[in-house]
Amino acid sequence: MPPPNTPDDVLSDQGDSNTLTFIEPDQPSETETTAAMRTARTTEPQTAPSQRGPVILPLDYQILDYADTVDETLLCPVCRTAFHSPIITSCGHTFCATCINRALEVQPTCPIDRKPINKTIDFHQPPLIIKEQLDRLKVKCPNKGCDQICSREHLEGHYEHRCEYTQVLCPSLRCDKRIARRYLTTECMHHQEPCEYCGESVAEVDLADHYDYVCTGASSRCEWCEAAVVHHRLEKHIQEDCPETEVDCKWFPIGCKVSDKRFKVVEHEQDCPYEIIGRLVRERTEDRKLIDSLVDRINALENQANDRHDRRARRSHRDFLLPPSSMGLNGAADDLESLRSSSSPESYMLARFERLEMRMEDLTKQLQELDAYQSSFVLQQLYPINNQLVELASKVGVLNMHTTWLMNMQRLQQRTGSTVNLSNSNMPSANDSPRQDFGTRPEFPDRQAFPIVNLPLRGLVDEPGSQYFRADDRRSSIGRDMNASRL
Amino acid sequence: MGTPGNKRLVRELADCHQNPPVGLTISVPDESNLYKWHVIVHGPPNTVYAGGNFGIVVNLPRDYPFRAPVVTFATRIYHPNVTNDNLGNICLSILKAENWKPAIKLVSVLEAVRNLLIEPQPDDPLEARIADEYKNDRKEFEKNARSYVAQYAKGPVKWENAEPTPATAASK
Repeated sequence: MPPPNTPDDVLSDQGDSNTLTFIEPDQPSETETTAAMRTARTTEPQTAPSQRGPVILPLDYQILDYADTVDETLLCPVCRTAFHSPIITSCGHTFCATCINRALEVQPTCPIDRKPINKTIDFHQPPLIIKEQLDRLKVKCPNKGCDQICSREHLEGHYEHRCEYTQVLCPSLRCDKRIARRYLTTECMHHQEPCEYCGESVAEVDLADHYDYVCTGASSRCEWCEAAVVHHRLEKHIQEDCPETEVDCKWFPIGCKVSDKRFKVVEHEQDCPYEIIGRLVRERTEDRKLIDSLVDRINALENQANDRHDRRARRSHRDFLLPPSSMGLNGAADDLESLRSSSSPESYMLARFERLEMRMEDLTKQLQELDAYQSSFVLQQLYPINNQLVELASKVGVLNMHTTWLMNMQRLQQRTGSTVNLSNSNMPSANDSPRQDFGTRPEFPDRQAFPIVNLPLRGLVDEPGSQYFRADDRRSSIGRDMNASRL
Repeated sequence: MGTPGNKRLVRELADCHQNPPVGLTISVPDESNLYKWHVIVHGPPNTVYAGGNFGIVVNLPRDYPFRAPVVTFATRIYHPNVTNDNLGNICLSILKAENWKPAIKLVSVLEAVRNLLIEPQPDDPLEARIADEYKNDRKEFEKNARSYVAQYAKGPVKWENAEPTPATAASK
């Protein structure tokens, strides 16, 4: 519960969704209460700020500092900074949206050639290439303390979500100040409190800075040099600055035995006999490091070269022996083993990566070969089937023609009504059986009524095309086939 | 305040310090007020104004660059386009409200002023008598101009001479 002296407007402030975003979701009432208590305790003005503004101030593109000089053509002629959400006018000039809008408020003409401009008609989107160029500009984070440099399209994300130095609204509802995100706690850090050393009134958020650079009070004597040092800086003073503390010469690791008060040691270091040796040693260790790294690199490069050589050899080998099988792989594994034992993990990984890449290449190649083999096999199988189909088609065609011929003959005979038919009419069943082999025969109105002339059908079936077509000519036979089916 | 003009002003000032324009010395008398510049125009060589140092006070409106700056001479000068009084109003076409363009940089304005010393424009005068003299009696004009330089424009610039009155300075 809030204390009795909590003003009503503090409580009503709680309803403001904008300000509530900062309060821990699980303990909103508590934060609110502490804030209110503190306000009551300290002498801050009792009226709550009516407008606390957004949680994070929008990124101001006009204060951005770019890592490289921005090309003049990308600068807005009004604000002289790189365009932000540019707009191109009908007269062909480009401005930041905010700049052109402000200029038009004063004078409804183009800020460059003063041609009249109507927002609704004369504003156009600039070409994408301009936006892309702007997106690629390298820009420094505008937050004090942050040294991030990124391309401009990513800056907003960095500023709004990731940067630790972005100024956000103070968690206290009574306070309209801002605080860097990294220092953000659940409490207001802006109330002034006297510094425990100098008594100066300092906001909590600035205390660290104050201690390190500003604070002048409450000095205590250094036990070595008798100097008056600000109390909380004493330790640092003894460690790093005090001229009276005992220190070793900086060339101690090399063998200099001098150990004395700092100011003497500093004097001694000016002409320490070990200095020359020390420098040499230092240079030598640096050289050693350099050599080691170079050796590593050489090893890695050699391994690479070997790998490449192996791969080439194996590839040429495989050209002869179609299924590459496991031979190459075993070899690779052996190489890898030796590599693992002999060189750095980096080159090992590199080599391993190369092997895998190689293996993938091999597999791809195998797959392609298999594919090719498969399709050629299918083609081979298909070819005779195709031929057979064509032959069959031609046979059907021939038979069709025969049937038509026969039917014509029958009609002719019927019309002439010759006696030849009568002699054959007593044996229809004998002629039925060969005919039923050819399903395409047209239906006769009444089979019994048409006597059939006995033709040499058998010979035709057994030796297709021997009499009428040369079956080799596939195209003509297909044509005929079609004719036949039409008949 | 975070108006765009302000930031542009900072930028322009920084530019001027990095690449100082020829024949001009730019300073800001009051660091907390960037809206007032003091510029010294060194009389261009081979002109009647050579050897003189002419103080120019630039007063920038709050919504610069959307409105034109007000530029006046603090040093008296004998010139067809500058009023021959303590106000030192300048007739410069780009500074007129109807001609001002936000895209014009302050350096360009100052260079235009300097150019006025090299090439006076008697056809668009503020001082009709001097313009007339410039056109018809060049010798007399040069004599007068030189005497003005000797009288007013030698030594350090006296800024307190001309406290500008923007209302009159803007109009021709």
